[in-house]
Amino acid sequence: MWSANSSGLGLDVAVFALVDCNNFYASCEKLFNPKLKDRPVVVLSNNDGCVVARSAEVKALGIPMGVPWFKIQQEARRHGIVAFSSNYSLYADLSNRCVEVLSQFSPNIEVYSIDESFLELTGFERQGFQAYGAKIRQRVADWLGLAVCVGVAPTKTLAKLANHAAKKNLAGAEGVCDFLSMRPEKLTSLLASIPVGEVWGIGRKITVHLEAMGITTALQLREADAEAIRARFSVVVERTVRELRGISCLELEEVVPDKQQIMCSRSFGTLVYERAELEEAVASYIGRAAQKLRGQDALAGALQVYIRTNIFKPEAPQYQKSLTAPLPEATSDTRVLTAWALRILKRIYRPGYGYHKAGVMLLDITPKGSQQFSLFAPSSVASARSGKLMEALDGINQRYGRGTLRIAAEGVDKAWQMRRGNLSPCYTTDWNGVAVVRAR
Amino acid sequence: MEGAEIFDGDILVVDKSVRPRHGHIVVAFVDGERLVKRLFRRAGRVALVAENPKYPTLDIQEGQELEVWGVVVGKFKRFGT
Repeated sequence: MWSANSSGLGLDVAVFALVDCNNFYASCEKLFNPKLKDRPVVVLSNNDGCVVARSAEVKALGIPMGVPWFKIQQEARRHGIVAFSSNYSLYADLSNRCVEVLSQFSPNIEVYSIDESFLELTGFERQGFQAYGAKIRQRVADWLGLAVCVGVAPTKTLAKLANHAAKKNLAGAEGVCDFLSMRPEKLTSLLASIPVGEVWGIGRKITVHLEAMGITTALQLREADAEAIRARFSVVVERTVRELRGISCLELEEVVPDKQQIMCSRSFGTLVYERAELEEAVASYIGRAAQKLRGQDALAGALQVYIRTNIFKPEAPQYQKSLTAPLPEATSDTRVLTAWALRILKRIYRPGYGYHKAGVMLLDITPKGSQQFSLFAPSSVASARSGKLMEALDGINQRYGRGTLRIAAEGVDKAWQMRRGNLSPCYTTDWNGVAVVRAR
Repeated sequence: MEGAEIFDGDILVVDKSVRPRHGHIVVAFVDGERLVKRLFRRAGRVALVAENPKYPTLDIQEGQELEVWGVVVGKFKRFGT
């Protein structure tokens, strides 16, 4: 029923799974705290501003994402909602562990965001992706104590939708939905029930235009004239149409910005031993990620850097480490982000290893203008000037090519402590945060 | 948990990937508390046994929720300094 992607022989249909952790940040908080079972839990953005994650109980109360915490104080008290400051060290560590478990299920994995990974399952048994998905789900539940949903499909865009269907219980079973084994008419009626705005890559602006054209569901977008879509929008949206038809256009590991995270990572051509070299790589990734961040008019509130040796050469000494730092104030300034990234790198770098890969991830991304200023933040004049400088930087780089104008490594002033009123312990990354258990 | 050589201040190594069985020492969540006990599961009876005569065995009643969080596979002892 699916068109083949490249061979034209109908043999090697691609298969992707999207594995997504349910209510990830809230689930991380619940995992180590027995008092939170069945309690409504929210996680707040930096400086305890807005709700950035909700447990299932909070979703059931109808509390929306992104609502400022001070606005729901009364409701929170009435329902006994427990609020946590965001603990990115904890979330990032559990995310890494999750990726480690998922790596057992496919050699090709793309860590798309802190709580989502694409697994390529092309060539795996055509029978029983439902069972394979269930196995993935069970193992993450057993080994990590986190719930995930799995969507399986011949394209990444469809895998996203399959995951959506699994999570919302629209199709599939037990948190797993496999489009490959679904009857075509069943899939058609499912796609007809999903609003077009839920389709991966279809943002709010495009949704409005599509709706004006009478395209309101995922099915209608699938059936749309691809050429016309290309002419009206872009080749990107046309690709989405083809992906909905089961023609795989997006490969694994393309650098794609997400609403909440921007990642940039790359494997090195040859092994890298020196910190100075890693610094250059990390700084250049920050440059790219920050430009992307500014491109979507947003600010990052936290930053992760990771480095690792070549895991496919087990005979060589192995080391991998990632560390996440919350920023005193959300920023999109390449200079600030670079300075922090290099500090983190200094903390995690160990000499004597041949490094194969490094990466950075910008987290806690919020639209510019909605951020909360810290009491100790640089003055608005300085930030307006920084904005202008970054604009000039991006302009020059766009015109003369990426990396024409770059940041030389620079130091940063001592960061002011930000407000994190109810921060959970770093249960998994700090000896002082290890959970205490009663022995009697 | 003195009978299991677990003392105040010890750091426990907990493996969540081990399937808990009768006789394992486990970390469990019961009634909002984090406990370390020996798991008893025989003849329809589920209980958490303290390896210390000073503390009673905790029988899990019907309707009461027991979440075995992980199996204790070792410990690290910190000497007072």
